[in-house]
Amino acid sequence: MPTLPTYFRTILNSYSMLFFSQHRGLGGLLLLVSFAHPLVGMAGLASTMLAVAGARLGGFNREWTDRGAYSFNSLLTGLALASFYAPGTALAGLVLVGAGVALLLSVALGGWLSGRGLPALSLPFVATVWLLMLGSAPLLHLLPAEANIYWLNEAYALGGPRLVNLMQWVGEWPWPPLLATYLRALGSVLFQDNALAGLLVAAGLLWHSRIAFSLSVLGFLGAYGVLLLAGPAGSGPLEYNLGANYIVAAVAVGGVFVIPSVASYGWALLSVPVTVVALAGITAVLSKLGLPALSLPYCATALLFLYVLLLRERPGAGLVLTPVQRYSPERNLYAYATDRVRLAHQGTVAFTLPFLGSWRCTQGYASGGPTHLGAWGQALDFAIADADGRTYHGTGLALSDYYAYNKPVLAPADGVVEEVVQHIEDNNIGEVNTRDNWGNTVVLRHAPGLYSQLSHLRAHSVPVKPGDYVRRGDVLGTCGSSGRSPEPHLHFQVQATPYVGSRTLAYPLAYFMAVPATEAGTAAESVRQGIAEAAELSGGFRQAYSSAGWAPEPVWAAVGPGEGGTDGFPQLPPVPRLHHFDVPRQNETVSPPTFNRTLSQALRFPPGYALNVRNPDTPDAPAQRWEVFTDAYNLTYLRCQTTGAVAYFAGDESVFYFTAFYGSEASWLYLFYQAAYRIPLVSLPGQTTHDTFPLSIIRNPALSWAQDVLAPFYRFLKPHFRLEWAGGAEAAWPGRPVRLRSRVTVGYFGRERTEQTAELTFRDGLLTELRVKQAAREVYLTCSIAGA
Amino acid sequence: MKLPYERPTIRKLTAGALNKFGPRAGATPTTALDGVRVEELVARFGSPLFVLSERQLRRSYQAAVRAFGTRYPQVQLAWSYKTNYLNAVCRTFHQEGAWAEVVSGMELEKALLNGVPGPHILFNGPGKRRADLERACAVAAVIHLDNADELHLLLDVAASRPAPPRVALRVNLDAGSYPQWDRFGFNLENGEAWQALSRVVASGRLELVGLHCHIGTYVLQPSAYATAAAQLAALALRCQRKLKTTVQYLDLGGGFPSTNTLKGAYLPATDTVPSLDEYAEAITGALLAAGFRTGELPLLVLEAGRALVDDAGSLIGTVLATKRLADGRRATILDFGVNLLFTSFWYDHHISPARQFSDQTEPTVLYGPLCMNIDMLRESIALPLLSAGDQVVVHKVGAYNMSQWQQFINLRPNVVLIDQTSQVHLVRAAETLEYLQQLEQVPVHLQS
Repeated sequence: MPTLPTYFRTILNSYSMLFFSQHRGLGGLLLLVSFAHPLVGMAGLASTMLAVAGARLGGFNREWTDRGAYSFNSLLTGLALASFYAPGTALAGLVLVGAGVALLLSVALGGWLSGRGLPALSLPFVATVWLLMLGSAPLLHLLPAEANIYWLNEAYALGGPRLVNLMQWVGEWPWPPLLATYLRALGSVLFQDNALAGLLVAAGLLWHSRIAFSLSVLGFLGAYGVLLLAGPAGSGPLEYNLGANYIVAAVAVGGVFVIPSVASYGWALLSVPVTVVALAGITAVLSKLGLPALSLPYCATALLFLYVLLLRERPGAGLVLTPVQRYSPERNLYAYATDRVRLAHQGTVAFTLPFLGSWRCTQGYASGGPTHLGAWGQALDFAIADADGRTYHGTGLALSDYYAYNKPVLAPADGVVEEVVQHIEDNNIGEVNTRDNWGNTVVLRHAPGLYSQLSHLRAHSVPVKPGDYVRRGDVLGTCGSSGRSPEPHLHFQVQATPYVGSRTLAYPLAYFMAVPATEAGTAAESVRQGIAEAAELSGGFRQAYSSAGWAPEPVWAAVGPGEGGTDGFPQLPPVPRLHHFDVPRQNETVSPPTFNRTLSQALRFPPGYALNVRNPDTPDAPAQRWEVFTDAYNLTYLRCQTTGAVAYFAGDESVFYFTAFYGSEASWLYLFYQAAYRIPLVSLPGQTTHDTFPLSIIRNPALSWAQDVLAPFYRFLKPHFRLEWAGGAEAAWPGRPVRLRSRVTVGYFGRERTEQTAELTFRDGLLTELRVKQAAREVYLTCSIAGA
Repeated sequence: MKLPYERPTIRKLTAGALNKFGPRAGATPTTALDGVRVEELVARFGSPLFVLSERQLRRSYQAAVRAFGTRYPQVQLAWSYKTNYLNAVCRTFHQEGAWAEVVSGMELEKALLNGVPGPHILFNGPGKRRADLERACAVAAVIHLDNADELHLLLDVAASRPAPPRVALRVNLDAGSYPQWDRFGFNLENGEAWQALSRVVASGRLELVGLHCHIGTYVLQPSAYATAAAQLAALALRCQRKLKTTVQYLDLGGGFPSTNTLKGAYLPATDTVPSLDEYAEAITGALLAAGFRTGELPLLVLEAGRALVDDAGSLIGTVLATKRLADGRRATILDFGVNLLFTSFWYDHHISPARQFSDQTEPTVLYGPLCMNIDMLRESIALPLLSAGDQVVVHKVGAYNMSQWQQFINLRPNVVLIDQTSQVHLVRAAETLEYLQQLEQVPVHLQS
């Protein structure tokens, strides 16, 4: 059934695609503007419909088809042909052929260029029009169109004298010449030569994207400036119908295929003189053949500017090619800005702590410690310490007095045993064996060029041998005190080479719980939060998402203060916090997290898993079905079968998080996306998990438009996600319902406004309830597993 | 300086076996507890006086968590309420993260009042009444089934519950220790346990979440725990395989000894009792080798009581009198007896003087103040030459004494807790006659 609506949606998409958009408002406006010359508009619409139908029947890439990527060249061809030639059956036939050729060329050129990571742009249109112009001349005797000249006649036929008056009034409006030229240039994208058409297009462009609009102005003014330097302004190439080349090139280079930024705006500006030269050169060559330059100069410039970026060996942080095209410069930018931090570690090998229980990091990365120096600095030492900071009980003169001694040492990740040394005797306490510096050691290979080394193991404690395949958590031996080890401790490092004692590689651990060294003060806490916040700026891997909260509430809330005579809990045991992709710091007490089985099971979402979602307030309404799929890149997403909305998600054993959302923001799936943006799969009563949303979630139009304009340079809005446990400690029980409360806020200039609060209930390994409260509405949803 | 006066003593000269460490030089005095002077404590709170060390409570708990937690991925301690009823003690452990193990309706309420969420309460014990079971179901505590009658009673109770109550099965088995404790739970070897498990699962009215086994108390063989753990794990795997029910936790009970010396032991317990690490090694080793799939290891629950609290309690007492018995032995009468130090029935408690004495000691019998022949604390102990008014400190009395103490002949004294900053808090005030008589009612005809 949804065939017909998608068909018309695709047609609108084809129109908005002229400005690299999927904005239906813009598409509608462009469609309207194209009908300023009804015949031209009809030719454009007809060839679009043909191309869309052809692409669908032809079985070409459905995604591209639906976006209009195969049909916008046909649209341009139809518009161009109808603008150039007088109406008649001959023109109709030509449009038909043109639509077909443009479609074929779109598919062919698109396929060829996409293999090189480049877009086909409007090259198929240019080629088709040339072909038809050259080819039709000997075959058909087409008269040049007069509509462009006597366009008032058409307007009269269409809307009577009133429309003529309106159009005359607009046409004679004393536009500043520069503005008029800009608007006519924009209008010329649809082969229109009047300011009103341009005004509508500009409005549509602004509606679609503030960044694209600002780039269009930048491109136009840049061209104006260049031509001003070159000679008398307003002459030659700044003619309205060619001015579009600067504008579209600037938008493409500065905002669509490159993430908008200060650098991309500079890059767009830089493209202008190139387009000027290309335009002049191409026009000069083509005029000898009697062919128009059309949009070729823009295509040439844009492809040149993109291809060189693509060929960089060391892409900088300034000019970033859009990783995933979201057809909106704003969305591209906002997604990139958050993903750069949030998804920085996708694809890395997930290392975990190589032991059980709580250990203290006795020497961290390059902490100036006694032994982790220079190229060997990115290593970690662990020992077990009690609350007094001692690593032993009794006198500490025997190995067995040490808590760490003989405790199991685990594989930090799946891998193959590369090397085993286990013949070196453990030292007496206080002695070091500098001859066999590393002592008993296991080296694991996790990936080509990625090894981990565990050292100072107890003599003859290693149950594995080289070549064995080990899984994360398998026992590799026990902690000892061999090698350069005055007391039992574990040395852990990641390295790029398979040898014992290779130089170290800084590599984060996927997840661990940590209690900071100085538990007492909130000072340490604020420092950590500061680090987490500064991370976006610094870009190192320290950013992580420490689930650092504000003041932790006592787990045992019922154990009231005052019992001990002092207020509060001066000696409350410290609450460990969950860290993701972080490195333990010196003196932190770290432990592996204990996963909450209810959450782990409910949010595992294997492909094929489906949920039926209902609103119990309207029991008669059919359930929406959310199903899990994987895409060609093996990325998993939830798709709402009713609305077509798609939410990409990712995660590991310790966390579930959404990575992207596409589709209607009115859908229930969007509520879930916002409510469950990040959920640690660990029982963390009393703790708050934080995350950052892309700016595209902002609903307030005034704020978001203001932000959009400034976004490439400065982002003042801070959309924030918080999640905390609503239920008590019993939720940690396997099989008990888990209730989580999340909040979406937008912070700006020191203020914070709540956009949405939600409560999620998980029961029996399933998301069962979702309550969402926004300013205007409240939604209550229940979920159940969809039957096979 | 004038030396303090000590009364004369006459001792039989015994050559004894030669000792390469030389003769013992007197008893080491305990002048302060956690930085607070004994004299000061007595002056403020009187004598006798129970003193609890919050620091030691936490250290013991952390040591137990460390011993098991660094060897096994999921470990949970459940504080055995009956070991010490004082709320200050219970809450200290709960703050550290302990669940509660209770054995009666009263203890269940006590745990709830201490803020323990229902699902974190394990309800053990052989004597649960209907009302107790109903209450446990209402707060979602886990009921550890002890016998078939209880199972049937619970099935009856469960019929009117909206959600199936969560239960664990108490299992007794031959772990190789003697005597075998077979009075708690269902026997494994004769098939009773399996029958009960099948009944629980087949009923559909109960949710089986755990298996429990308490092999005894003061068990000195870690290997017995290894055997018990292995058998319990095998039973859990059988449940998974045959009953399609995943057992979420294995509860190995408690019974870990403290370093108090049992009466009649030849060597002091500090030399003979295995460390908690050895028990941890045995239990976790057995569980890790039991054949669970990685990531599906059940939670290990331990109902430690004695091992957590014994070391943290001390009892300060005062010498009331010394006398010589008919056979010439010295007898010392203290102001506390078996009424307060119930555990002296089992242990030869370590008792130190509270001030410095000369190196001279004499063997003495320690009596309490009760007018009962059983009131003997130590049959023979070498103590310095104590006189009336001297204080002594009994060590490691945290377990059972503050729950099994008797209001008999004397009232119960103050209990104080010394926190980690050496602040002293009164956590249970000395009883008064008024308190004692509060519940009494005198019939009218006896009132005149």
